[in-house]
Amino acid sequence: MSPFASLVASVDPRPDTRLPERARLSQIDASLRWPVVLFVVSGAGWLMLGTVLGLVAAVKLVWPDFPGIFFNNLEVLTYGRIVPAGLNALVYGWGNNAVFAVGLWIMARLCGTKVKDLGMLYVAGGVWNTGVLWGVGSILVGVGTPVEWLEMPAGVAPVLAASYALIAVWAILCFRYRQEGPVYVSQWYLLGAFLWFPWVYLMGELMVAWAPARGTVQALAGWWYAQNAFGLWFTPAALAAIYYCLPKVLGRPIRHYYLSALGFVALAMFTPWTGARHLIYGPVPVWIQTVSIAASMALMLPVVVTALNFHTTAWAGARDVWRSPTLRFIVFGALSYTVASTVGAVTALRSVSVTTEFTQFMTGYGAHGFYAFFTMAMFGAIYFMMPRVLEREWPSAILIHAHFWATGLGIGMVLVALYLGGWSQGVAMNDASVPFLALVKAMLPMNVLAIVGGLLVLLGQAAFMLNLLALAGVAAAMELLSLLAKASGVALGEEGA
Amino acid sequence: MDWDLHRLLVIAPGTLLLCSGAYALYWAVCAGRSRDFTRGERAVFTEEEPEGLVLEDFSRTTSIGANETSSANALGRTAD
Amino acid sequence: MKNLPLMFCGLFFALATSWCGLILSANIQYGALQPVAIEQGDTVYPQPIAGVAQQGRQVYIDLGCIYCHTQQVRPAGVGGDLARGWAKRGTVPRDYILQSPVLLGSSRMGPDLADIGDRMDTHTNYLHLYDAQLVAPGSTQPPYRFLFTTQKIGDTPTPHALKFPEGSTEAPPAGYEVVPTDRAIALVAYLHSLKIDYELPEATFAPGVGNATTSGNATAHP
Repeated sequence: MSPFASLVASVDPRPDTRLPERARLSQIDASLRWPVVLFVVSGAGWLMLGTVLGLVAAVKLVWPDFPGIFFNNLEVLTYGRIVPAGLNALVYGWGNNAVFAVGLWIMARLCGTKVKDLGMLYVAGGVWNTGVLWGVGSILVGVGTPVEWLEMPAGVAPVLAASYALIAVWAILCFRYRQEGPVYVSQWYLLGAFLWFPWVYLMGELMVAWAPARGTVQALAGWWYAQNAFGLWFTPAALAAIYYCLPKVLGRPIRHYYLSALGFVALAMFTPWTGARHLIYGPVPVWIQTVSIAASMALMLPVVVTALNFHTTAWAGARDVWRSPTLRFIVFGALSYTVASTVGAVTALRSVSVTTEFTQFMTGYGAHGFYAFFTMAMFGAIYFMMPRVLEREWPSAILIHAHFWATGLGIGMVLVALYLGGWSQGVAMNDASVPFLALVKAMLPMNVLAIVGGLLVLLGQAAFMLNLLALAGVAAAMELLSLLAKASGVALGEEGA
Repeated sequence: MDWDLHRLLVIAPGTLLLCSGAYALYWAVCAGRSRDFTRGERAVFTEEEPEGLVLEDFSRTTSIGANETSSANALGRTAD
Repeated sequence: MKNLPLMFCGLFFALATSWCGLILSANIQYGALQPVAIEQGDTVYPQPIAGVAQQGRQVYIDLGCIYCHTQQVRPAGVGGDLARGWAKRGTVPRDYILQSPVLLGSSRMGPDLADIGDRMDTHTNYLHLYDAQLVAPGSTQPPYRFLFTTQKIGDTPTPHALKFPEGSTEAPPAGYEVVPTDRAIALVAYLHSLKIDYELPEATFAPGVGNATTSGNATAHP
């Protein structure tokens, strides 16, 4: 075979087509086993760290001296560093790792292809996590960039971009070399996500850090990035997971499936125009704000489509949804997507944003999208995926119950606290007769509620982490033992021969 | 409204985008792609995990997941 | 659709059009704005800020002040920004052309700071940074004690030394004084430089709004 042909053959991810399809699915699952474990375990670790940092920040809003006079002389624990550190840990540490694992696995399964070069994935995953560690550490010592979602210093970006490319390339290759048959909507969403993220990330870094744009054009570029990182990377990944897991577990296809194409196209067209909704009444031209507001309204179209797809399907199989750990999380995420997006559209209206902008309400909106929607959907997908790649059941159903109830109730409390507290904060802030200190004090009860909710979330995640480590730990130990057995068996065989 | 270049940069690509999106949808339906696409709704199901099989159930087992390869796993039941 | 190249182009096109429409067009419209004088021959605004204030800007950035404070004032009739006396007019793009990075912020756990230089008193600000509870009880501002050092009083007290309220538990022991470090001095210089005390052709002071700049007002926040 010519060198070129053999190179092509070496990256061709299709499994042996001589084998029946039955072998292929388990081949695919097995091929991604340890990379998936790497991404999920490291992602879960970042999730815990990010949540702890978020909780510390929440406590500081009620007790600014926390954690006490001695520690307060440590700059690294100051509120203004904890907040971005926690955010970046959650977004790039948990969020991206979760999408790498779930996205690659669903894409590989639906395309009927398997990933061949695991070495590249291990290295890339390691480099990604190192980059995030470097970035979060830099934020904590004060060398970050003051733009939300892009706080990591400019030097980290090429590292993250390079390791990302080595991971995402496999999703693209899977699609390129997929088996014959119709393409499912999740493959579209994942293809979109894996291609869009590097484009928006690089452009964001360019216009904010490497060659900063002048004046508030920078702010526009920053919010264009943040909105797209959520709407064109995390959102499609979570939607892909819901579109895959919901019919799979229920054993029924998605209802009104023909609409999903419309939903995808509308998401792709409208999401990237919504960036300036964070700058309503801000120092940017009014017509740009109007364009983003209109686009935010138009985004209700994919929301209605997905609502029709997800909620009718889940309702028809409601009993089975409740009985399935995966689907409890998945459907929680699906419902949250509908509600959070509606909140987003309503708060984009000028008359509403007057009250909600700059308040805890918008923090709640962010938590609604990133946690109640994206994170819960990822939990569901992980509960579905791990037993299949590890060929081993989850050790404890009790821990799954604990995880669901604690995080579900916890995030619910956090959202109530931030939405209600934020709304009154906004109303009071717009009333010049209310002294600022008075409105700060009035936020106390809701801030306390948010802390309680945050603690519950942390507990739920601890249950998840325990279960995950037990599962992965046992699997890894068994793998190690079997490798050792093989090695010693070979040695014995050689001796005996 | 004065037609500065910057407004053109919004209106032109925006309109182009909307029209091409609408045309793509129209073409897709006419070229029968919509029918092909709808067939894809069953693409999630395979021989190993077929349509009609509910894959997970808390109440019948103390632990869940894994493939049907192990007969000891009470994974699920076929739908009625 | 199954065609990868076609999908690639479509996905890119959807993104690129938005970049052109939002960012490129904004850059073309006002990326080249220059400082301008309201009357021919007058001082042009905005003015660049002095060296110490630039260093202070860096301190503002590295302490993450943007997570609780905005530096963008909404125009007259929108919200309570002007009514609270946070500025005499709303901020416009030209106000930020000399800033890099821009520090608009998106959260108001504390008041807007775009015009704080017109409202604050230096010494109160030092006390507020040391421990906000000293001047604004109930505030959620973090204490920045690490921006100060406690030292033995020399022959004469240092000019900037903090004067604590009577009987305050934060006061240093007798014979000692709390003095701002260079970082604190720079930060306060930066905060002093934040002023929207000038008009622009596209943004004049709102009628009837706070002509008197708050002076001698010892409370840190309105």
